[in-house]
Amino acid sequence: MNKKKITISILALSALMLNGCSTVKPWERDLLAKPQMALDSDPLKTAFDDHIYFSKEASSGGRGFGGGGCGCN
Amino acid sequence: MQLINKKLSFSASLALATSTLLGANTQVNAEEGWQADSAVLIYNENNGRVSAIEPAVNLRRTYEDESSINLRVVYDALTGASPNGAASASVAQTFTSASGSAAQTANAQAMTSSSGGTSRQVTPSPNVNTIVTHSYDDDEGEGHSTTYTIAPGDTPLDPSFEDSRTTVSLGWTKPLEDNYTVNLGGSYSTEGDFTSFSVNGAVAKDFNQKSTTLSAGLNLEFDTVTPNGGLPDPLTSYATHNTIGESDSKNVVDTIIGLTQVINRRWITQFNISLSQSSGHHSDPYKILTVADQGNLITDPENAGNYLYLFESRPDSRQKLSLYWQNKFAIMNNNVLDLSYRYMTDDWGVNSHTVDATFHWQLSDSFYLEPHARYYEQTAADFYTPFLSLGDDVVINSGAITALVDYASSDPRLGAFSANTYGLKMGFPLSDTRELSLSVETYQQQDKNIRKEVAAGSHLDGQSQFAELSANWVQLGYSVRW
Amino acid sequence: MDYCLQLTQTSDLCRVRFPAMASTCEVIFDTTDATLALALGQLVQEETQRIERHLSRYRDDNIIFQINNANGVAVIVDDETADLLDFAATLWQLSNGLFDITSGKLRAIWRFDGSDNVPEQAAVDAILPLIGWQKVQWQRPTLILPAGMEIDLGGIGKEYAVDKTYDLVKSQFKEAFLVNFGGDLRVQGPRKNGHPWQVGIETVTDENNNNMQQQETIIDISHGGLATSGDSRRYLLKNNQRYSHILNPLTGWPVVSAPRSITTIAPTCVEAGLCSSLAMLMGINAEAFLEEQNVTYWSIR
Repeated sequence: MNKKKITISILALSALMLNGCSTVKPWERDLLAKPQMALDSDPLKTAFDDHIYFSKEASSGGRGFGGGGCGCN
Repeated sequence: MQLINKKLSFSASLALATSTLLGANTQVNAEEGWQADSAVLIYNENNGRVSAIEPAVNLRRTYEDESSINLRVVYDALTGASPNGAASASVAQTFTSASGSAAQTANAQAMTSSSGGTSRQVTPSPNVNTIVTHSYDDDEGEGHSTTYTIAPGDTPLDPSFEDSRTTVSLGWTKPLEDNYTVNLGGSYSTEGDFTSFSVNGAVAKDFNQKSTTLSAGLNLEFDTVTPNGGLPDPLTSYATHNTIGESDSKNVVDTIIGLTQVINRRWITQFNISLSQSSGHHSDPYKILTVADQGNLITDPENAGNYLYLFESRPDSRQKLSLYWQNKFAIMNNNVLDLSYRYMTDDWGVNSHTVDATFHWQLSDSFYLEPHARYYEQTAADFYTPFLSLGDDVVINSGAITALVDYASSDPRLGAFSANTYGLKMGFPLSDTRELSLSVETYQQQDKNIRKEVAAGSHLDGQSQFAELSANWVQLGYSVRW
Repeated sequence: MDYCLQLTQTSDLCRVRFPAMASTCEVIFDTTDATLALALGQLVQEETQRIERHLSRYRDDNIIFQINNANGVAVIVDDETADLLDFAATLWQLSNGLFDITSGKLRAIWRFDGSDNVPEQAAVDAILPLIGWQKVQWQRPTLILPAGMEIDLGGIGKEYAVDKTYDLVKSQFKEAFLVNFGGDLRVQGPRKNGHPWQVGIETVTDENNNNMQQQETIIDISHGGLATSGDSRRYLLKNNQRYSHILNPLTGWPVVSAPRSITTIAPTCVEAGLCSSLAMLMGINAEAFLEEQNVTYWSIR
């Protein structure tokens, strides 16, 4: 993957945010309020998946932390 | 952190008063109550490797002031066979795992019961081409050992892999004045030879009428490993099995900073940076490496009649940096595209990329589909090697084994590979408060390691140097709110 | 022959209108099904009229009349009235006395007809003892109002009706719709075409009735309630000083240096109405107050 491209995209996005993309008013939250728009819409599934990948791959986490380690190193 | 018990802000109080006045039909504050989620994961790896069944229950109680308490209990039962780290060779290989020294008198049985202090049980995995014998060594009351033989050409899998683990986690969230929210949590996990205890805390602040949220969190984890048969002396003979103690520990400090931003009515994005510092014992006490001379297995100078394998060794410290970026896009009125990317790099030499995409397709009020795809790739750890070479990595002088490397591991988790996951989740909302779901996923790794050269015709010539994992899992879930 | 209900059908909407609460009340439905719109519109009309009958201070056959003529005797109220009184009590506390449903008595001395009939301080002083929720004994379901005092739910009546009828329609109608009772709104959106509802805010005239502020502001709104507080029509003018019709129940006098008009949007119409009324009462600090709340607002000074 092209690291430079990723860095640029991240910077561009931050610039977008800092430029004050229009604040979304509370009453415009109708779509964002739907359960499928939650950042983690199925916490148990996320926990299961994270546990599987943690025990088979060298990377873990990124989105926050749940609880508990496991003996799979 | 000192928790300030302040009253709600004017607008929050007004919102509460209004929702009380207008009754349960209002949109405001419809969250108060209980939610119970239950799920069971059934996991299976191909080629006779690990199988697991994992039921989980999550209970959440949300209060009027939007604070909530969460309790989660997960039980994990694993069986099957797991790579022991030795390389597959063109000759049969025999291993003795867990406690005790070299193989005791054979006592072939189909089932066994636990003895001594450990809960390690043994169930032979039917697909593995092994001859499993069980023996009892009660001299030190430490439990039994297992001897197994791997046929030529097979990846050495330790079939005595069975464990059960229980994890309990508790979490608490409370919104404070001035758009602050605080989270506190802890968890405890125990399995036969490993316990883990962790505490975490986080603070978040909302800005721009909750369009922007900045958060910072800390997680502290304390792990203790008490391997069956004691802690092996790293990079020493597997057959000799010198131990350097009963147990050891590892502490992890994780910090995370996150920014969540609602870009517009249809797009929310989250960006997290996390740093992790892990100190203590990282080596897997059950994993070994084959020592080969130009690709041929050699006799253990300390144990005639056995090939030489050394216990693996990992550094005492590991630092990781992760960058995580997630986006959710609302498509039309009810569909959502979830796209995320994670980059991880650590001081063991592992770099990884993860790209994940899920599409939530709401076909009707009572049915949705979520196709899912994930691509993952990682580089190998600096000390990863499929086997140790005599002369380069290990030398033997007058029967004394000396490792020339500080660290070495052939654990596939630390190798270079890519992996694809494809899955589909089906959701069946049964009513406003109940939902059933079924999810199936399939996972396939692809070897990306540089092949370590061996002499033509040797034991390791033409043999696989990396066991690509294939796995499938099914998850059934049921949620109810009241 | 009295005008009861009007149904209008356009190529993409249906609208029902009826008179109530001294305004034109309308509901716009994002549907072309006129039969459905009519049925729902009639339900809304019934509910609105029921609320009006229940809460109006102009009638002599409802609980409000009973309360205002009880002469110090305890009155047992029904659940809906009790809910409203609980709400009024909470708001009185939260607003530190600025929101007070016993302040209606001030009407007797303040008539905002554009004239210069500003009352004397003595007249105000005479009325103040009959104002103040702290003098009321309210313990659900019993209300004891000292003799001479009155309650008036007009301050939230219309917004309450908007939110109640909104819930009524929402429980039966899956598409977008807009409830508008004389400028107090609640919307459910966005519309089928993906667009939000568009609401125009009324212009404010100046003293000489010239439309100095000609532009009508159009707001896009997909969800929530909207309410306006302002003095464009009711005021007194004396010695070049404009007295708005927003009276401070603690002083008995109109608030000074209030904006000419405040429009707020909040999750419900009741909240929007309360925020805009309370903001007006903050006078010069109206905007600062609104900045702290969970609303968006437009203020015209």
